[in-house]
Amino acid sequence: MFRNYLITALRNLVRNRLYASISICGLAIGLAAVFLIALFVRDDLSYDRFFPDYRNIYLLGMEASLPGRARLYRDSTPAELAPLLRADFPSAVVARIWPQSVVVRHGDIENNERVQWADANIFDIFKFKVVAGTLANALTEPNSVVLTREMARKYFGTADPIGEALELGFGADDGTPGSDRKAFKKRLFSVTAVIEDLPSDTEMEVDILLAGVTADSPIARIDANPPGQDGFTIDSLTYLKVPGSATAREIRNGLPAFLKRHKSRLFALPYLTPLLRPIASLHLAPGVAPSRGHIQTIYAMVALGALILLAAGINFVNLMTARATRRAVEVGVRKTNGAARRHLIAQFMGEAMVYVAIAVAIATVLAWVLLPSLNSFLDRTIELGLLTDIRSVGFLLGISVLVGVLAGAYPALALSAFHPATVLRAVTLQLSGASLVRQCLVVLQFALLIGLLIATGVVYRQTHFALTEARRLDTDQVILVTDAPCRGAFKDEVADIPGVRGVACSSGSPLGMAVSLGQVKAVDGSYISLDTHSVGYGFLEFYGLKPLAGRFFSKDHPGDAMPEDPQASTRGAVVLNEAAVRRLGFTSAAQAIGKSTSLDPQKGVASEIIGVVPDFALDAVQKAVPPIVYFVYPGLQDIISVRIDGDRAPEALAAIDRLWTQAGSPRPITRSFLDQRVTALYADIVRQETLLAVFSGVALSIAILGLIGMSASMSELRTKEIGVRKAMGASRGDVVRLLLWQFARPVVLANLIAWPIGYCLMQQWLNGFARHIALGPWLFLTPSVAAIVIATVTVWRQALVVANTRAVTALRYE
Amino acid sequence: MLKLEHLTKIYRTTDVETLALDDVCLTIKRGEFLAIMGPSGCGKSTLLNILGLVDSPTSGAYWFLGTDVARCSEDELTLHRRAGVGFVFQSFNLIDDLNVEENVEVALIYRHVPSDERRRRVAAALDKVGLAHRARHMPQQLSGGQQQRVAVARALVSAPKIILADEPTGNLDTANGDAVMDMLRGINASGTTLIMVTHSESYAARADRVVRMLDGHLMDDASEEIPATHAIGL
Repeated sequence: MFRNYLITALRNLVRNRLYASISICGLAIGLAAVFLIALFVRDDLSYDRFFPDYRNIYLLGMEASLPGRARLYRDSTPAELAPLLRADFPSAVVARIWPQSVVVRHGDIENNERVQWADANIFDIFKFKVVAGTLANALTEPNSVVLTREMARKYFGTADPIGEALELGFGADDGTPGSDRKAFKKRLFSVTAVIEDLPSDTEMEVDILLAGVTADSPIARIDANPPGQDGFTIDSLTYLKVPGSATAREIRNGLPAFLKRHKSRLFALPYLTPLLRPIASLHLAPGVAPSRGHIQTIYAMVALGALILLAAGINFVNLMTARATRRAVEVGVRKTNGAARRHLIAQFMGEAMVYVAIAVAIATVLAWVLLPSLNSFLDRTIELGLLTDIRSVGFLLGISVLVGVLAGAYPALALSAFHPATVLRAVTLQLSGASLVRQCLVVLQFALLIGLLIATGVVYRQTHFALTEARRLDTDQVILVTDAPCRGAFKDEVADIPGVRGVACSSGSPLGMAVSLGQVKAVDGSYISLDTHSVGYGFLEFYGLKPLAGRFFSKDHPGDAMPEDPQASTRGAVVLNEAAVRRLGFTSAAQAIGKSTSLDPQKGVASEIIGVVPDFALDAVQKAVPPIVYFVYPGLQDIISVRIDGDRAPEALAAIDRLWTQAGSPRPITRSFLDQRVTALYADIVRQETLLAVFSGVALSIAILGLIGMSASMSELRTKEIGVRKAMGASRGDVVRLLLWQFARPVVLANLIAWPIGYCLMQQWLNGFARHIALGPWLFLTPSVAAIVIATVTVWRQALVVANTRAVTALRYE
Repeated sequence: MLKLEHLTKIYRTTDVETLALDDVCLTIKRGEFLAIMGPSGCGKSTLLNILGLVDSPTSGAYWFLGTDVARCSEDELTLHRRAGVGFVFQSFNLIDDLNVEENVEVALIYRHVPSDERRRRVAAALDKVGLAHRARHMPQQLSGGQQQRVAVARALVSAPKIILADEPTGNLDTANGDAVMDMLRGINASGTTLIMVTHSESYAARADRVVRMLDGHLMDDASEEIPATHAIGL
């Protein structure tokens, strides 16, 4: 019986090549998209789960809920907590990682790198895969270093440089007690082990692990001289490994008492709370770095996958049922020969499974071919894992069976319900109700397509808007030199290079590279926590901003700069942005000019408000521009913005690099184009836009495939009707119109579904931005018109063929 | 063997009721060859469908091999059909995707015949209709007469107690029609009950008994034993 079914299925497939290939291709494209989405989602959900025992590894972070601001999260905590934690919670293994930027050199290869000072017992927590050497005691000796394979290759050209020496140069300006801002030391470190590179699905930063016991390490300095109650550092990542979740709960509950017992000055601040989070949860934890994952993205991706699968499934059902009448005789014969309905259901379900199995095979190959592109697009190292991951295979099989059952069920039920007495009388017949079901499915499919097109359009417009808004600042041809000495001659010399049109200094905060908060006195005398940005003279003008009222900082007014001596009786001048004017309680920009405020809640030394600047921020659209107070404090300026002449960029850049070396800096220069930074800030929504465009394309191709199949089968079914119509005097034009309208109608209906749902969803998406485009009518009309045009063009050829058939041929058809 | 008592069949659509069979009483004996005649739309095919258990009457009783099947469910009908009925249709109704041999085999698949026996019986049936050499051909490669002979082979391969033939010669020329009739007569001669709907007086004449229908009635429902020759004479 099975053989007979299989033969029928395969021969039917071969005979109906067009329909079969349309069904299978649509499904394969849809499934490939779903597989890739599933891989991405699995990757996002499996962050840091490759570490053995990841369930028992926690990171101690903290949460700041400052009044009037969104909650801030930090992964790092004071390094001085680790020894205390070890003493008070002996069942936990506690180890720290302290990231720092240093100069790494071996032979001719010299770079600025992020390195990680680490406690020797870090390997008791993280079981890295060893490439060379051993991890036991790898970091117990001072001046030992453990490299990743990538770093080993980069500096030594081999994955096995055990015992070789790596030179590190660092300024000990890490803010720890006893560190010297001016000292720049060079030290040799001996390679004790090489570990495998971490996969991309980790929130951990591990490149060059240095022994924390080294005398130059901030960890060693903190351990030798704990800050006690005099101050704190918050740069260390503190990891805990516990025997089980009960211990984790115990520690979490014990933390407040622990911090109180040890009189932590940091956590005495009322708005800070410690957070003990499993490392596997960090990637999707809310509100941390923008590079982290978002659970919303995962939801959106899953929804997209489901919609695409639905569209492909609809095609499948439609084509199977449209072809059903051709199988009527077979159903009749089988039934009169004793087939029960369940036999036929099993047969047609099995047939659907054959189609699905072929589609799955094609989809798997497609996914395999496309995965490298996805990886480079997402900057990940996702693997298909077909041979290694039993769950991947399970998912693949599961989804195939599910699709097969869902897509095969309706055709199987409809076909098996044929009454032999009816079907064997050899008249063409329609599946009762099937045509209605088919129409509904086509409407649904086009609603999906139009909805996706609407979403693509809206996201595209918003991305465009965001990037333009961000570029309201004149960011053209600006390079940023970071970690630069703003006070030396370097800056002036750069300004004199031919091809350099302007130079300005600032801290990282106005360029969106850091967050800096301060207490600012409002009109009513209270102190409010605001963003405080340190800029150099001419910085605001450099970026093309003009004062709304008053003036900007000027060297002609010596009192503008904040004095370096904290005991001085004057506190310089400040410039507010419009939001700060409102937040501090002034009625207008003009009203604020000449008034005084204070950035010094302790002594209340006054600063004069000399100007108001328009609201601006590089990441302006994602969040509202916060209230900002600008001031000039040369000690807090380490970034030089340089505007260069586009035509002379290469020479100018070379000259800047030369000057940097001449200035005698021990570090290589770090410079980047501001435009690239801005693009990086918006990488997320640009990525969303691309994904949506790709998925709309997928949905579009599935819908077009479906239309081709449907129009072919429809005109076949209506051949007789058209013959009669032509015999009665219908012209070719009448027939074409008739067929086109049959396909245009569901598209028109689809708009009625797509518009309201699309409007609600996109409005919600846009509300996630402080500033966004308006949902204009053309954002909805364009996709609808596009869908109708696509449907017409697709069906056009088929309609013409049918219309050209001579009436007699059409009538003889049966 | 088969007995219809006051059988009625009404087709209902939303606003039209059609009386296809009106109070039909008929008894058919084991091994009989019965021909049903009548103009188009008189209810012949409906009657045949009910006799063949692919349709159910609206009212009345139908004793099929000793069981009243008038109120049986679709599944029960399927079981009875499997046990005793073979069909031959005017339009052959071979499955396009299966070759000759496989088409004949369909009749055995749902009757749970083991595969080696199936092969043997299919070969025997094709031999009987003279198409053993065409076993691997597809239906489209055969003439109408050959296709109908395949259909006959399919009807007889399951050794049914009853074969129902709905204008088996309707789509065939005289030579092929005669050949198919000879085959059906042969099958009947070996004991299978044969019920045939036909428009052809000459083929009806080969039956043991002819019943005529008009507008859903059996014309000669009282006369159960009219000799075939007599019926032709009317």
